Parts: sequence; C-alpha cells; structure tokens
Amino acid sequence: MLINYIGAFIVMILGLYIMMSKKNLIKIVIGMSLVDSGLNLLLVSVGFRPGGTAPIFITDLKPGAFFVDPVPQALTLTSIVIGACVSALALSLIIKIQEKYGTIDADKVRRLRG
Amino acid sequence: MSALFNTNFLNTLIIIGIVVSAIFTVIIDDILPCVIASSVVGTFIALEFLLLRAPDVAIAEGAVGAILTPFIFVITLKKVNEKEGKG
Amino acid sequence: MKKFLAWFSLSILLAFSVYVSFVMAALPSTYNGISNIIVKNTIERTGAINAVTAIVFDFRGYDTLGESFVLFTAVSGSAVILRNYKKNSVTPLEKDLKNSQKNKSNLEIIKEIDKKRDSIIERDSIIVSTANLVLPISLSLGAYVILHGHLSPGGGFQGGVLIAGAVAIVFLAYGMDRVSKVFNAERIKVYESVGALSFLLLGTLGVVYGYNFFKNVIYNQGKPGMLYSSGTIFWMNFAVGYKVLAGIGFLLITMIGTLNAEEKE
Repeated sequence: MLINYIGAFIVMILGLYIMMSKKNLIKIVIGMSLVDSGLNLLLVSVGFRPGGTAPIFITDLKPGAFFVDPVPQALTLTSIVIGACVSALALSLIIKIQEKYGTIDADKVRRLRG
Repeated sequence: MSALFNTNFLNTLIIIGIVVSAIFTVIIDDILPCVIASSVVGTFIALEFLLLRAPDVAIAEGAVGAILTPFIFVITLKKVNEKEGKG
Repeated sequence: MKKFLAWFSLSILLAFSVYVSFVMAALPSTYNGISNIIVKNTIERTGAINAVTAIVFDFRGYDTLGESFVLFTAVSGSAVILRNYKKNSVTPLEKDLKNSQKNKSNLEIIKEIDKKRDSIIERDSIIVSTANLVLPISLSLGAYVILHGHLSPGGGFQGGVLIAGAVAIVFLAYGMDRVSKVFNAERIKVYESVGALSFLLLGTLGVVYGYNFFKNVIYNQGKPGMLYSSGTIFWMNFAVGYKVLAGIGFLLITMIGTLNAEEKE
C-alpha cells in the first residue's frame, strides 16, 4: 500500500543520514540497523493484497478467501537474520578498535597508524 | 466498508509511530536513549508485520530487532565505557 | 556546508523515492506468477500447513543454506576477533582455595567458591525472581515454536533466537561468573557445527534417492496436520533451530566474556 512504501523509504533515508553525518561509531551501526529494518518493511509490504489472510492452510478456511503473497515473507526472514549478523560483527570490530586506538570517534580513527 | 476504514486507520497510525521513533533516533545525542529508540522502531515494525498478515516475520523481527540487537549494543556500550582502573 | 549538502542530497533522494512509491502502488499484484503455483501445490507436494515454512525449507532451500553460511561466518568471525580476552574463570580467590584444600571433592570446592563469590556481589531480588520464573517458560516456548514450525507460525530461526535469549536472562540475573559456569562454551561451538552439518546432510537425502539436491522425498509419511508430517521439513526445522540457538548463544557468551569482572568492595 502506498503509505507503507513511503514510510519504509523515510526510515531508510533517516538511517542513511545517521550513517553519513554522525561521528560516534556505535551510532553509525545503529543507522545501519535502521536501514535494514526499513528495507524489510518495504519487502513485506510489496506482497500484501487487501482483503487477504495469512498464508496458513487452517482447516476451516472460508470459501473465497485468498492468501497474501508468501514468497516475499520467506525472503524477508533471511534478510532479518543477515542484518543481525552484520550488526554483531561490526560491534565486535568496534570493541577491538576501542582497545587499540583508545577512542571511538570516527574522525580520529581515520588514519591508519602502524 | 467500515472494516476497511478501520484497518487503514490503524495502519496509518502505526506508520506514523514508526517514522516518529526513527526521527527520535536521529535527534537524540546520547547513545543509550538512541539504542532504546531503535528498539521501539523494531517493536512498531513487528506490530506492522502483524497487520500485513505475516506472523512468521513478526516473530522473527520482534525477537531479533527488538531484543537481541539492543542487547548486544548495550554490551558493547558497557565495554567501551569501562575505565582502565580495575584491570 | 557539509550538513547543508547532506540535507540537500537526501531531500532529492526523498522526492525520488516518493515518486517511485507512487509508481509501485500502481503496479499489478505480484501474486499471479510463482506464488499462485506454490500455494496451489503446497499441501500435495510437501504436506506442510504453513506455506512460508514450506517455501523456506523446500521450495527455496538454497537461500536457507546461504543464510546458514552467513550466520556461521558471523559467529566464527566474532569469536576470532574477540579472542584475546582472558576468560574470567580462574582468579586469585579460587587459586587460594584450591591450594589449601586439596583433599576435598570438586563439588564441595565449587560450592565454597559459590558461597564466597555470592557474598561479594549482591543481586537485585526483583530481577532474580523474575528470571527464575521466566526462564523455563521461555525455554519451553522456544522448543514449541521450533517443533511446530510446519503447523503454526514459527519455525527454526524464531525458536532458536527465543532459546538463545536464555543466555541473556542468566547474565542479567546472576552475573557473568554464573554464565561461564552454566554454559560450556567449547561444547556449544561443537553443537553449532553438528546442526549445520545435519542440515546439509538432510539436503543430500534427495540426491541419495535419485532426485535433485534439497528434494523432499519423504513427504507422504503422516497426514498433513499431524506433528510428524511433511518429510524433511520437520527434520530441517529441528537442525536449523539447533544451529541458530547454538550459534547465537555462543556469540552472546563471547561478547559477554569480554567484560571485566565486576566486584564491589
């Protein structure tokens, strides 16, 4: 539906703004997680049909009931898990960066030091 | 017809909630309230998945995006802010 | 100047995405294509009631295999990156006790260590009593969601994440020492590999029977609607749930183990 698409795009653009302009490394990872959530919302909203029901074959289905599209939901499950994995790996890197450089400011860790 | 109107109204309300929580994530400066705001975004998105007739995805997003991800953010935050005194 | 440039480019992106969403809303529905065929053939070919689980484990099994690889890589990479932190298992307190009482049994020594350590740190009583109540409920709910993946909303991933929350609950209520005593990190690493390998071997069952990879060849054992039905989907649910709970549990134990021990004087 229309407002779902606009909402998902707004969340993605806000996440992108956080990634572009904030200085703290942890905030950048929060922005990446926001982009992932907005993208999953967009994927599931594509497969919605107004008036449909959940794609489970229960025994007392009303005659004339139709399902929403189950394929985007299956792909969104994979995408959610991958988003969480990438966030966890990025946070492990941040722990190591803080130990080595002493700070997690994105401007100060920019130069590679030997 | 009125049932259709009710569904669209609740849907619009939840989308407005998602966008407002995401705006809070941008505006706030400290990190811990920012992590909690991202958890609120995840919860609202899980609620929206229920309205879009997707219960599997709702359970997955609620468990991962609203519980697991903020937990590892808080562990990282606690580790980063530790003082070097007590080795 | 930089902030103005960021706002300007993002507002152009926003205008473009509003136009794209208007065009997307006018497209015909995506249902009349592959989804029509899948929904019509779900019960005959797989015997599963839940169409999304049938798609994830049977019709598009390769995507699940790739996602297992990504989860395994993330957990292993995290364990390698955070490797050099000493686990907080042996401290000078324990060394003194062990040297002075050599002829007591191991159980009594551990009990004395527990008593000494519990008297140092005071635990919040609300969190402890809530965790005592919530932990068995969440474990059984997670096991139910894993096993009934083909009958009701749920499946391998969701149940695995719910059970892996047990590590988080134990850490919040009892502190880091109890986590390293209750969960044995080496064994959990082995369990994750066992889960991943069994998922792969269930995929090659189709090749053994003479068909292609990931084909559901034992789908007509049991009627649709019973607990043991839908062939390899039942076993794959269990294998993936096992893998996910071991993997995410190991990731949480690794990240918790980097925190320094807390001690109140």
